[in-house]
Amino acid sequence: MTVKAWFQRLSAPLQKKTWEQDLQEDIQEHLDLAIEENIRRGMSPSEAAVAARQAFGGAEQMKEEYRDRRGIPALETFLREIRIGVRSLSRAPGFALLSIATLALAIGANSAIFSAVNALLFRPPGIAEPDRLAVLRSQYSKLNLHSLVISYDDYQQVEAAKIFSSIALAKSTDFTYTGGSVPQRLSAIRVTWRWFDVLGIYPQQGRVFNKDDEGLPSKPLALLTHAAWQRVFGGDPGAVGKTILLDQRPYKIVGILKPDYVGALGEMGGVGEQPRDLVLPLTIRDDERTRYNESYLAVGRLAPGMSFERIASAMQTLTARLHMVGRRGAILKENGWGLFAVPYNDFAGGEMKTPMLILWGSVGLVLLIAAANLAGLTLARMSARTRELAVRTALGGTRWHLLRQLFTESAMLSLAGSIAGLGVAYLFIRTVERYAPENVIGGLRIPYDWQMLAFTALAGIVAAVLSTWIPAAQLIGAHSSSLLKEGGRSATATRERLRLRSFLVSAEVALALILTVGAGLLLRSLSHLESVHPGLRPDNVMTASLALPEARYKDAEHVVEFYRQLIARAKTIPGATSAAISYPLPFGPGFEGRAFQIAGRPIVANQPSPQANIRLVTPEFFASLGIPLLRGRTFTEQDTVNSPAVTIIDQTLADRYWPNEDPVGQKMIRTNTSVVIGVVGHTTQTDTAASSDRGYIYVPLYQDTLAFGSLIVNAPGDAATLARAMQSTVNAIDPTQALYDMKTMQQRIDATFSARRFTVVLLGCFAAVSIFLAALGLYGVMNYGVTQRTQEIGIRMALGAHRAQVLGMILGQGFKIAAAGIVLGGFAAYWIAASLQDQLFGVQAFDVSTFAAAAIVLTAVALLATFIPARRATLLDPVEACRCD
Amino acid sequence: MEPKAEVPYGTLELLILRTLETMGSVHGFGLARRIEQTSGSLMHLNQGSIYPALLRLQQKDWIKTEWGASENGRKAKFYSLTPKGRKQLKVEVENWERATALVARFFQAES
Repeated sequence: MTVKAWFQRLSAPLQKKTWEQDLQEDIQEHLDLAIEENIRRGMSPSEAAVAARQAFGGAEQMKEEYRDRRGIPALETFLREIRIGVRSLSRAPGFALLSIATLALAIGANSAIFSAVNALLFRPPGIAEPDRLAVLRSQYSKLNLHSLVISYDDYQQVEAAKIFSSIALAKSTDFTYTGGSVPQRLSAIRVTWRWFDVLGIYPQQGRVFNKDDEGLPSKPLALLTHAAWQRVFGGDPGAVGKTILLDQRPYKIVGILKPDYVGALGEMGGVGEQPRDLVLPLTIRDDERTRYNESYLAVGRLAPGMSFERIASAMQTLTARLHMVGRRGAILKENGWGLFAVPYNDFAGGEMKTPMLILWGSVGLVLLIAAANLAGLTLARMSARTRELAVRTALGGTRWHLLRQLFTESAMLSLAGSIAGLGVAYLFIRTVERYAPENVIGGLRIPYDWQMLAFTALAGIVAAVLSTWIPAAQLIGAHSSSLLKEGGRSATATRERLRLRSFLVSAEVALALILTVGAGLLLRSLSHLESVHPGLRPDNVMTASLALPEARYKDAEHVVEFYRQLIARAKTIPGATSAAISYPLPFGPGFEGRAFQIAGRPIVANQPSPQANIRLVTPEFFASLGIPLLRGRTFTEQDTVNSPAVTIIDQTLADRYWPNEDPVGQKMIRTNTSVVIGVVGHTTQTDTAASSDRGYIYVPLYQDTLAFGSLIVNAPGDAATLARAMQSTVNAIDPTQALYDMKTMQQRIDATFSARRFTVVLLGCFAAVSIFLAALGLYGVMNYGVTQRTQEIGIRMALGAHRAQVLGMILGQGFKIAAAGIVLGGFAAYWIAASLQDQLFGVQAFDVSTFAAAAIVLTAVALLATFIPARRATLLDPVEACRCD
Repeated sequence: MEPKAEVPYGTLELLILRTLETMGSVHGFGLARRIEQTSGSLMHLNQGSIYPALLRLQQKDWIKTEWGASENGRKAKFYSLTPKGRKQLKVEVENWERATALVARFFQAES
């Protein structure tokens, strides 16, 4: 076909009017000429007109053929189909609105969760091709240490083995920034210059670091993240080139990073980390390059064509080779040491990975339920439109025509649902961003972008296909003759449809049960966790962190002097009963577990050595938090570097490693040998069962000094007042010292559950929506069923059936549908719950009471949904009902 | 009345092209009448059916249209061959002859 023809065809719908007129004129002219000729031959004018029309043939048929040639029939049919669809839907506004609202809710929730999952797990913003990045980790499997940062030596080995195309190292540090109204704590990450290339991070202004910035001593340069530029420097356009004071030393700002990079990847890595404010060059001194200085986060980019499988085997080969190197290699081998790589996305997803995937799966189930609901509604509408369908068939509408219209209507509903869903997703995302706890999304903004748009379109298409599939199959299966015959109520197509709808509702109930069981299991886990006694008394306790800059506090003596002064002054805060400093705080970030030895006990080969968490504390720590002393004594002011090394252990350690003897007086070996002087109660650490059963070793902070820690003050009264008093206490000693991360102990405890609580709340919402949709579906089916059986019910009642019997009959039917779904859903939930196992705490995957409760809730809702139509049935007047056509 | 033959399938376009070749420029009615006259009343033509065929030929660029005055002095659309159409007619005639010759050969062989 020529270009011209195509042009004509494409432009046809637009010019339809004019060329139709053209054709009409042509025809008219033709007929006029024919009439004139006929008259010349001697016919009367009326005869002439008839003869002319006869000779011309069927004008309408010809026009139709002409139109087909002229335009694009499919497009025109499509447009016509849409016109018909709009008309037909506007005749059933209730159906249309309900469908669109349901779809909007389901699609919107799906899009929002997709966008969150995409940003959190698959496509961290601001990082190029995150799926080609790997994080390098080490492990000591015999020491129960499974994922550690690596040493410079490890990095050099991997680099030399040419496993990655490039590797960068990073290490996080914090600084006190003085220059604002009060000293502020800024979190920073020091990086080697390749960091920017490896991760694909670019500056918005200025430059990133290059090789020359890496000299010794490390150059005082800094990059600001966009958020810090806005927050700390008020978006000052002249910030680049300025000098700022960090820990009392000048640093020059060389650039500002793009806003999408939040830099949440810390040493532990991952979402939920505190977002970074600064990026500084990392220079590693010679004395830091030892084998055992395992303190660097390493990220490598995969070379083109490299796969994670090949990386894994290369790392294994390298590990095996390093095991062979001398005595050191033998020790490494003995401890089960090894290097390995984790795909960046797995690493960065962190603890939110499983909950996010659970939410994603759940919201997918909600979409399925919504589609099933729409399919049910469509079937119902088909029944209501039986006569229309019959007439259309009789007038020559093929089954294909009917199907086409079914699809068009469904596509239109899905499209409207998707568009409304975008609005729902927007609200959903903003709500989540506003109410999600900081440690769940870590400053990340959930994008509202083209990928989400694409996913929304996909969800819309899936919904359209799913919801049309069953009605379409039913339509194809129905005999055209039965469509025609279907004036009466007993026609098979209608029965078939009702059966299908019942089946769909059962499926909805099953899906809703799965969600309810899932939400119930997680809720019970959460309440178990929250009811676990933390081992301490959080009431009236305020905590805040500080870090003393090396420049001012050169040695342990100065640090201890500061701490003693601080505690003495803190106790003068009105109402204060006790004050202490510790690192780490209970329910705060801190060290990973450490191995120790017990004096006099042989080391057993291939057995993990004893493990414990370590906490450095000042004497009043236990009193401030109400941790009970069970045996021996606590630390005193006299336990210092000049006195014998002492340790306190908790009940858990005592029970595990000294089950039949008194640990007090025993010696244990960590970096040095110390004497156990007391046993205190156990405190839980986080919400995971695994780490909460690891015991604690307490070490006097005055013996083993750290330049950073947290101030704990126990004082009744208003938390905000106490916090201000603590800040001024610190500044009375040192006006340049920042006190940051102020939280009550209760807030810290709550924060450890916030991710779980967030998941449970969302899952609970999804479960509620799914129950509502299933109830709606059941109500629809039962209501229709009652209408269909009006006559039958009338006859039954005329023959003496009591209203109670009728009520029972209808309720029983609804119950059967729901029960089928509950049984089906129960099996599915049993199977799915098993995969939730590691998210559960204190509750089995097959928790009978949760399953029973979910079943009871759904049964109750189902009976309620059935009760309304059932009651309507009992109120039927038998005479009217029998007469009803 | 003796039943008239319908226009053999696919030949209407050929008849139109051939008629336009002899008549030059002509309006729709004239074209239809001429085809009827030439067929000597042996063939039944729905006069209207030439219009979709004319559109097809136009889309192939074999004929062109222009506005002119009809016998009664009113505005009418006149159809005529394009050079491309003239060339195509030869090809079509040859194809037709080849096809009929082929069919004829079968009939001879049968009888």
